Amino acid sequence: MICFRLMRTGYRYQRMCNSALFRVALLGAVLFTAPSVVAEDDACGPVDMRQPGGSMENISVLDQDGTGLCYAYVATQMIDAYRFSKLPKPLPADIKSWQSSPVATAFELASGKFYYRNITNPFKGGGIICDAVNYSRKKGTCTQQALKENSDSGYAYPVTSYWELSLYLDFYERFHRLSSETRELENRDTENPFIHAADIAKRRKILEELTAPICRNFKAQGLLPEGLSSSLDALEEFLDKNNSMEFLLKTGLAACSKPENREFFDIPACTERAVFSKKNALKSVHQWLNSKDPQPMGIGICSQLFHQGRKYRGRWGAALSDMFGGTNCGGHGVLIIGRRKLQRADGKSTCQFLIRNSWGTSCYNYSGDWSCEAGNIWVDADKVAGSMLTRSVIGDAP
Amino acid sequence: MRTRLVILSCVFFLFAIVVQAVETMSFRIGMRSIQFRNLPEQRILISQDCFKSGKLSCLAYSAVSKVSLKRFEGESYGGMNPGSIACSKSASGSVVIGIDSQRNERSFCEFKDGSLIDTGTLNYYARKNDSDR
Repeated sequence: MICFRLMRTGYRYQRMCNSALFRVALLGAVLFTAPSVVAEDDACGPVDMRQPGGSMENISVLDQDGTGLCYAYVATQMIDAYRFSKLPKPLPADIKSWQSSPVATAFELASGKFYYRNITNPFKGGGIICDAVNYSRKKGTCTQQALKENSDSGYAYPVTSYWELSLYLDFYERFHRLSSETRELENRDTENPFIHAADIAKRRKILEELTAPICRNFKAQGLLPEGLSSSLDALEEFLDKNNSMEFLLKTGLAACSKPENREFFDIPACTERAVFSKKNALKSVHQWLNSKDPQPMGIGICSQLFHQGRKYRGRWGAALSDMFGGTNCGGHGVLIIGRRKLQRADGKSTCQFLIRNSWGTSCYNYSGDWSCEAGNIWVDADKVAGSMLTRSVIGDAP
Repeated sequence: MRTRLVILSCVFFLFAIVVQAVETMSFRIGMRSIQFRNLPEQRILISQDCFKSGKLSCLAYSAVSKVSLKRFEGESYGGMNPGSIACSKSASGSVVIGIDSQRNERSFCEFKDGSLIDTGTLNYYARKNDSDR
């Protein structure tokens, strides 16, 4: 079943996938399961979900930083596009404030699912788009606004990026290390009680200095978990009872536990399909885009296509491991949010899909072969289909 | 006289191109509002404070020629932003998230001297440096 896992976004078992035995097994599986070739749908009518009235009109371009939570970014944008487009019009002016937090979604999912907590470590990234969507259907999502309100307050930064996340994790690790060292000293017999006591006092002072700002900020932001005072002993006890992920959920993401900061919605279940054929993938995307008021489609794709441009051979033209998201593929999750026909200088035309990535609005990340509009990129439809690993939609997958 | 006129026209023309090519952009990072200059021809978006007497001079600009992604390819999981990896692993900077007026995000690499550069710029130059070496 690891093969199946490899086809998912952000896979992490590339070394195993590169082994010869594995490749033979995978080739057999692909040949055996590949569906028959389906005629390509050559319709390429214009679609741009960012346009007024489109499902992506109010969905911001986000930057996942080094979190590796692309699947959660795709999932929350699919959810928000769906729920915003079903709200009565006109939408409130601050609608963008009510977008869901992908980081909160990923960590809540991880706290609730053994697989994500222990196998797909949320601190390392990687996951399945529909897992995040379907989890949010039941539990709701936390709004970005709830986390951003506390911005720029020392340790009480909102956890919306790896940078902010690392503040909490650094604190957790440093505190734990110092705390356990201090306790070890306290329990140790020593020949010179004066030096021993001085050493303990010094360490406790460092701990208190480390603790003071986080407690002060948590208290000021109303983020102090219940039962935790600003005393060192209470914090020690709290950290002993919670692992780093629980600590994060109860501190940096504590605002998400308040009902007023959560969004609940009624949306159809998410369905995800593995891609085994380029032509089939192309047909599915066209079919999805041809629907009335289309919603974004989440896809697992080889991110090398974005860097290398048209020279990237795609999933089916390169090494076998690339078929399942190997090193030269770089498994990644993005959204398809539009389509156009590009008239080339030689008089011919090329159908392109509009990709919404989670690497911010910078266009310097991408090959010059693709035209970029503030983090949204137009990529040849044929190349996208040839690099697709999975497709996920809210509703029934085409 | 004619030569002088031609030279002056050329200087004016070049000046016009330079002025046109440099755009300024503003992002909110935490509670700060920071001005950046965009040099699209060079694929560089860098904080305004790097421009000193018409020249680029800061740690953020120095990182452009040194940054690399070669040693960190195996450390990219789940579609991490490659520019962020270049920043934290190769350029010894720390990533901060900037927000524009439309609530869109863009990550920047911040250095000890306070200068900032777009992580997309670092990604572009890391790949360029790796292929040139």
